[in-house]
Amino acid sequence: MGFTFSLAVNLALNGIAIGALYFLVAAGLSLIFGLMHVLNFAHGALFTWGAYAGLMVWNRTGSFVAGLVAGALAGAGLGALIEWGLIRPLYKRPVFQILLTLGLMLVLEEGVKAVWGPDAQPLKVVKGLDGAIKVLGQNFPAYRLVLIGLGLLALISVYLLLQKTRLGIIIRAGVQDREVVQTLGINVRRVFTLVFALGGALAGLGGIATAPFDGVSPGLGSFYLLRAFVVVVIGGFGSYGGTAIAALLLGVTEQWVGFFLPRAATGLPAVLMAVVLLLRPEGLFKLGGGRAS
Amino acid sequence: MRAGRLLPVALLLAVLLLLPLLLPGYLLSRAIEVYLFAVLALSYDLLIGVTGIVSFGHALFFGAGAYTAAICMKRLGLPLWVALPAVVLVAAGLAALVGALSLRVKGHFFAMITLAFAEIGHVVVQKWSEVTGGADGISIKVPAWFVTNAAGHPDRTHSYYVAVLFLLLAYWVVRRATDSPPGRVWQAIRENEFRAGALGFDTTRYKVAAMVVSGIVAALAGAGYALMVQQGASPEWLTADITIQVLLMTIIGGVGTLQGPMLGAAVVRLLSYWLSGLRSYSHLFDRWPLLFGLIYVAIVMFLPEGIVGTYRQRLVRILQRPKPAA
Amino acid sequence: MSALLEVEAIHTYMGEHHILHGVSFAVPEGGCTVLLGRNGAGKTTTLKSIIGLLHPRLGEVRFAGQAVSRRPPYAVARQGIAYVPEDRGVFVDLTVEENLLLALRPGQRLAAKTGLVFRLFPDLERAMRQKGGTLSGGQQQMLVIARALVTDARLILLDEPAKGLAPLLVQQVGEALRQLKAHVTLLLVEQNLALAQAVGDGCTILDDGVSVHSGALADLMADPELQARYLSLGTQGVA
Repeated sequence: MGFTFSLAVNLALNGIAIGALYFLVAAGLSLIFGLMHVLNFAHGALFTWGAYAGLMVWNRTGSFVAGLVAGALAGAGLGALIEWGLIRPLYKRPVFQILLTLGLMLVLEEGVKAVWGPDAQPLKVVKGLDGAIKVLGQNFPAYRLVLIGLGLLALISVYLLLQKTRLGIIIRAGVQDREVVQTLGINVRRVFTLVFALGGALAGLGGIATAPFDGVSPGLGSFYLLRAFVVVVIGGFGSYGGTAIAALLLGVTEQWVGFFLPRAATGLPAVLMAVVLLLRPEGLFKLGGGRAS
Repeated sequence: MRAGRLLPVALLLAVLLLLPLLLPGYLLSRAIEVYLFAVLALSYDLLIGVTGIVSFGHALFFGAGAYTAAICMKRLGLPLWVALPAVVLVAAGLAALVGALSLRVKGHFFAMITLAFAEIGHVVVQKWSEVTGGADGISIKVPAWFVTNAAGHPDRTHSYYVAVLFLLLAYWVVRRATDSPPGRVWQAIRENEFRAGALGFDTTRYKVAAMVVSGIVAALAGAGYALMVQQGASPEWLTADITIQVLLMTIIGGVGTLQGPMLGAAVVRLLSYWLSGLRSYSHLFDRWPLLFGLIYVAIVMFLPEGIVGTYRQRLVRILQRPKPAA
Repeated sequence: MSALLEVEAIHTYMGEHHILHGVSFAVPEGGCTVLLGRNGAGKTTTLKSIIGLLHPRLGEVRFAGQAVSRRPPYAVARQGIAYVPEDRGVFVDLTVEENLLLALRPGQRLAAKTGLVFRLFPDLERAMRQKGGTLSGGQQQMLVIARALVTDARLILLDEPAKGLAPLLVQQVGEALRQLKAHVTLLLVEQNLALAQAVGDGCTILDDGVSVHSGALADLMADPELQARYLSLGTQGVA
């Protein structure tokens, strides 16, 4: 197939749709690291559990929207539980904290297999959105527009939360200097749990949103987690705007590289992460505050 | 070695050496696997336990060793006694490169970059099929000596003793390295890198050195695995699964104790054989890795010293208890 | 009548380093007490021990009669102590307004507080929408002092507010502190003796982690031998 403008646009749109998913996983990861300095390896598992929980509700009720809500709630609840029960006791021991989240990743992934089996779930499409629409003469799956829409919705909602609410101000300040926030009389620890829940909700939402797009399987979380890490590294830990841009960039770049150099595409995220970590560990963008620790 | 320790060590050695007389052949293969993983865990403990380098890319060296051995023997037709030094050289070079690049960043960034490098290695091995055989890997024909006995029957006894020897040698090397002057610097870096630097040591160079030693030992374990267990190399040896397994073994056994991770390797492997064997009895055991994950989480939270570490702490406390008045 | 703040023989460690070896002094309500001493004497550590960023292993810190020694910083702050650190602690990506909003207790409104703040620091009123990072050094210093005010603190701890500021700005800071004194008690760590003299009433000197002298600042200024023994040379010492 020749490289035409319409193909380029299609690839870009695909990239934006996937980028939306990357953003949903990465946003929580970035905020959690920026505020609490916790590298949450279990974040991908929140994605997976959100996918499964959402799929279960969708199957039971027949409503995709109900599934979306369920996925987000599952992610939020699980995230809050993990923070309160397991992460909190280890704030004084950061090395063990990372080791813990790694172990949690394993436990949660195996847990999914225990409950729903190790195989991928049958792909389920959203009625009315399983067709394709024409974009510049090329077929573009309609559901991917939903992904883009969800991504935008999440982007704007979290942006409003961060900019317009007191919680948002506390989070942005805490990402910069936790100690000073404490000395202003604010119990930052309580905010931690909320942020974990928020990050979990986004991840869970991303998980269930993936169902009609990519299917649901136990390994889902790990796949998106690696890419989420890349996004957070490129965008800058704790930088909300940076995460959004980086997610977009990664999604689109992957599509383009995948078209021209398919063999290289699988390794792209890892290479990008290594390169950025070596050259500019604090991230390529410095928007929206936050400093890498 | 103190006299009190001599007896248990001698007993252990005796058991190790006499095992082939006690076990059926297929269990010998399992034993070989355990020993090789014990060496891998040992090499990891040198990084994380002795020097304090929390790397998440250790599978890279293990896989590199396996693939170097396989490529040398299969694609280049080199004999074993050339392939093994090649493994050491490749591992040293790779570790020096990865170390020099990744140790420029600290903490979480370092952990992530090691993850990235391991993943890159994994992708390279999967995609560069002309050299690495792609997703199928490489299979090699090992010298007959490894897999047959004097009469020509399939027998793992020779391999077993090679593995035991390797285990003892590796432990001796790592132990000596840890107790040597550079080893003390490693431990100082683990305790407080800033202070070690203030004392005049080039901490980055020492850390790279630790990585090189650790990488070489891990790669040799990988080569051993390719030769004695799998007769080949495949991409799964470079995945995060391996890194997580090694992490499990090290933490459960007791990070920093050197013996702990080796014990942890035995515990994890033997338990996993046993549990997966139980699957034929009940589907309950299908998800035995879940059990390991839970044990790991419990140890990280409540018993961070691991088995050996906690045992040593208790021992110290018992020994330090004031003697009752006469 | 007991003092607003009583520090009783505190020993504070950072890791294994024994920094404070028994620091004791009292800060009376109203006015400004200055904490003096050479670099490394333990002045910042003392402030951190009061606000709860560090917890003394031995000894007690009492604020308005209540023991606050081992409580988390947010709890100490809520009792009525504000802390302005050496690096100021301005949130650079937040606007001036947001910086101030953070300091409010739940249920309070910023508009009610800004009267005094804008009177003392008119520059801030104009800069409300500006990002903290775009302010000059002097303006940032004003911002963090204003922030401390907004918290309704009874005692404000200040760690070298004049550090790195041009002499004119130092004067402005001094003027602001002098006016502030009327509303709030101040505990000021300062190497700049001129500023200390302009603002301070009482003083305590720290030397190598021990409190060695407490008394009226005026008396200290009249005693060059004491100054030479415990402080940097010269009365115009700039930090």
